[in-house]
Amino acid sequence: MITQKKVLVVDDDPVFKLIARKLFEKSGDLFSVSFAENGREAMDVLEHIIAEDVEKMPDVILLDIEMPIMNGWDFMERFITLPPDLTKKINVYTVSSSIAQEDKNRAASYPQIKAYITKPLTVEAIQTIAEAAA
Amino acid sequence: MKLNPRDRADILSKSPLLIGILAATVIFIVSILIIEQQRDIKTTRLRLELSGEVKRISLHINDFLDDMYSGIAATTRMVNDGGMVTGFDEGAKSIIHSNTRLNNLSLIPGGIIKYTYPEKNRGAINSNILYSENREEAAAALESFKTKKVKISGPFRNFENVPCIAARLPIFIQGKFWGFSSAVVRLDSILQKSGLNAPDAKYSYSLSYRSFLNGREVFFVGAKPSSREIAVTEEMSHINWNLYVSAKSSSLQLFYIPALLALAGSAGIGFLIRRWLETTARLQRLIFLKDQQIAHSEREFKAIFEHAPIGFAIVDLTTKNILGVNEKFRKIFNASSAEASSSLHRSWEHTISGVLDQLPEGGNGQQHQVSGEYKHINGNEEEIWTNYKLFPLPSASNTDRKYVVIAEDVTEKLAAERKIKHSERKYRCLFDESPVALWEEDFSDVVRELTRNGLVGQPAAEVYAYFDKQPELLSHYMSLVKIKSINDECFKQYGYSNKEELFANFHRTAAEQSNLIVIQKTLVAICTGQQKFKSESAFYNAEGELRSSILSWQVIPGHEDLYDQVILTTVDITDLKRSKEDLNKSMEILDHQNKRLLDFSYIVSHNLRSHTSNIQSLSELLLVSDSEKERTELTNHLHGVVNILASTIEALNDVVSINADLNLTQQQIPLREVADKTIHVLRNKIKQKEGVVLNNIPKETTIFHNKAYIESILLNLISNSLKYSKPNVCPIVTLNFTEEHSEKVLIVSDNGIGIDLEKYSHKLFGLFKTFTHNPESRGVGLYITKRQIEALGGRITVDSAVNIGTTFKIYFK
Repeated sequence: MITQKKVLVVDDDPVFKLIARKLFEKSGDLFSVSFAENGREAMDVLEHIIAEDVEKMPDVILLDIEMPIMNGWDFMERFITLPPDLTKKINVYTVSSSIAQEDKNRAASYPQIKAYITKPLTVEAIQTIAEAAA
Repeated sequence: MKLNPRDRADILSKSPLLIGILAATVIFIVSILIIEQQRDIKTTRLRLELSGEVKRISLHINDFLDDMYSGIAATTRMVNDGGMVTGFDEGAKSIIHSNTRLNNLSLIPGGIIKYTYPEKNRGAINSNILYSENREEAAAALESFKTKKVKISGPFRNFENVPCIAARLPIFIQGKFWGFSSAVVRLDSILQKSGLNAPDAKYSYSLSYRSFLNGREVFFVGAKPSSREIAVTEEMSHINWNLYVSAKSSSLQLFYIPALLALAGSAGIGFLIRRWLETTARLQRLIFLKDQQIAHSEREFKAIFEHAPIGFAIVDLTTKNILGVNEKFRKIFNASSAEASSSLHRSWEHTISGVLDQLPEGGNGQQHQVSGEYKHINGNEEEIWTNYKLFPLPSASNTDRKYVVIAEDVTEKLAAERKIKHSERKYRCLFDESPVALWEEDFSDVVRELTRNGLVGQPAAEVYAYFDKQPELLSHYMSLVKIKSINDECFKQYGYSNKEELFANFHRTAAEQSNLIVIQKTLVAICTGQQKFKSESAFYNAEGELRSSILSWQVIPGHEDLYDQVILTTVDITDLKRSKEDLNKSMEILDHQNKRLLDFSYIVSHNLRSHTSNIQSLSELLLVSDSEKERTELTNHLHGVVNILASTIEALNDVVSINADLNLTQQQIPLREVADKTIHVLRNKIKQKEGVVLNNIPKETTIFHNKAYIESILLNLISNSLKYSKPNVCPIVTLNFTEEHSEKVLIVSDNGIGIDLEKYSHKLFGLFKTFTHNPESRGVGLYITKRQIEALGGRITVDSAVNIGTTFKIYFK
């Protein structure tokens, strides 16, 4: 039995969350998807997992940039302070509608970010994420 | 070898000291010989005089001795053959009466004084003269006894202590010694009578006796004359005395004083001879030097005459002959040396004739000079202009009419002058008609003052520091600048109609600080030897408007030392500067707007892309969906996304309308009324929230703004306060108005949930920036509010604390 990859989608847009869930579902049973409303919620989830059970640590994080409360960049600043041995296996992808080069460059400056995906999220992108996480 | 007079003069002139010494020596030797002869004659004459004086004194003393002999002889007769003395007192009295020089008579039987006269001498009775305390007296008495002869002894002091001379005669009766008869004379009587007791101007006297005791000579008047003195001696055998008379003028005085005078005289004459020789030699040298100078001057004159850069000629006006010309003169007239005379004569005939007409006929002409310009054609057919001057050659003869002609070829000079005049006219024309304002100024007094204060040559930093410390000096230096001329553009630039108006109002035109900076730069330039600089300056024109200008300061070449000709150009750059400033402002606005547009495009792109990508994804999911339920779910979501997209586009329309509305109408707006109207519009929301809006804006408050914008701003801010109120707390919104630093300020404050400014201040006014979970948040309201305020030059600030409330301040321009 193939072990499901745990995906954490961090976005405040309910429609995007629905679309992401549907796309992961259509890729088979490869992924188990959970959601966070913004960077703060995502950090709370990670800190809770570290405290309770590190086995539940997500393999993939899809991170929006523009979010209320805590945006994607602020999340990354907190994320890099987490224990590296726990976070090094997590593939972080920024998923944003922004096409600004400034945002792409900033994403590239974080070694933890695997790729910068411009919305919309496609089946091909899901396949690439799956291959990388395998 | 025979010396010529010049050589002899040379010898004399070369050793005047030696000649002086030789002359003095010769004179001195001759003088000494004469003095010696004179001394011999004088000494002989003096000895004769002294012998006469000795005889005179001897006679006087002998008078006393004669009396003493008579006295003792008469006294002896008072002793009879039996040795008895009879009639002594009467006899002695009689003897002394007849021999008045005698002072005492005594009879001294057996050496003891028994009889004595006068009676006052009775004190000496019974004293034994052979044993007298005065050993000399005793020895004399004993000698008298031995020789049986009269012995005169003394002087010695008698019993009254008076110096006396005594004559003692031994008396023998029948061959047997009886005693002595004695006669005594006072020494002072002898000296007085002989004239020895008073000082004499010509002679000195000395008297001595030969001691009966030891034969030595003992002086009792004066002292023995020295060998240098001229003296005559008389041995007085009766009395055993020596008389010395000496002249007061010694041979020393007779020789050495004249000799010294002769020495001084000889030295003086020798010195005078030396001075005379030296003066003569100096005069000779001077004459020799003058000779050389004259010869040198003559050579120089000849050289100058021949090679002078101007032409010289000497003309005899009587014969009209040219007596001599120099090289330049020949060149001017293009004549060879051989043909000079005739050529010149021809060339100058006319001029000289003209000159002659101006001079008195036959006069000496010494006071007449003629000068002028003369044109002639030289041998090469060239037109030559000559500047000439004629003046008489100084001459002893009245009939001599020789003149000096000085001729200078001024052809090139005149051409150059014409050129310079032409250039000057051109320069003046350019100066006057220049479209740039030009000032011709003289800084020579400034340079003098700077030199006087030791500033010229100092480094720029020191000169700056000097005037920074004493800025009041700058005005003083500025007053030393002399304006020589200005062109028409100057007064036009300043807005005056003529130069006089400009000068009359010149003091009003200076923009003080700017001018002080320029004068300081000028002073530094002069001190450091700069010849030009440029500086920005400012001035007030006739209408009192402050104008900017570029000033260019440059010393005219050839005036670098005195700085007496400096050209200043001033170009009014006010309009240029304003255009540049306007352009810069426009560029700034454009830059700002471009950046804003770029940001806006990113934001719009992001938001639209966010919605369109959702639509795209939902559509694709719809296509592949095989469940009716799922399709319905997806369709509902698609519908929702489309609505949100429409709402976003609507909001973007609002935003774009602000950015595009560049020509807004502004008016005075009664702020309180507009606020009341907004509150009325929002009354349902206020009621729904159970809130209160307090309008504390004063009634008469007005602001100059766009009315629609003000309504929108108030609507957004009050709506936000109601929207973000704390749950279960009645929202209270307060509107206030105040003025801060002459700025009108509208203050909107509430008691809502507040904003964490540390986190969100940077995105508070951003488009589509939200930071709450409130579903009504679109991130548009505050963005539009800020744009509406800034569109008319205002600004908005925020102060907030979480769970306490938020205050927005709007500053109107």
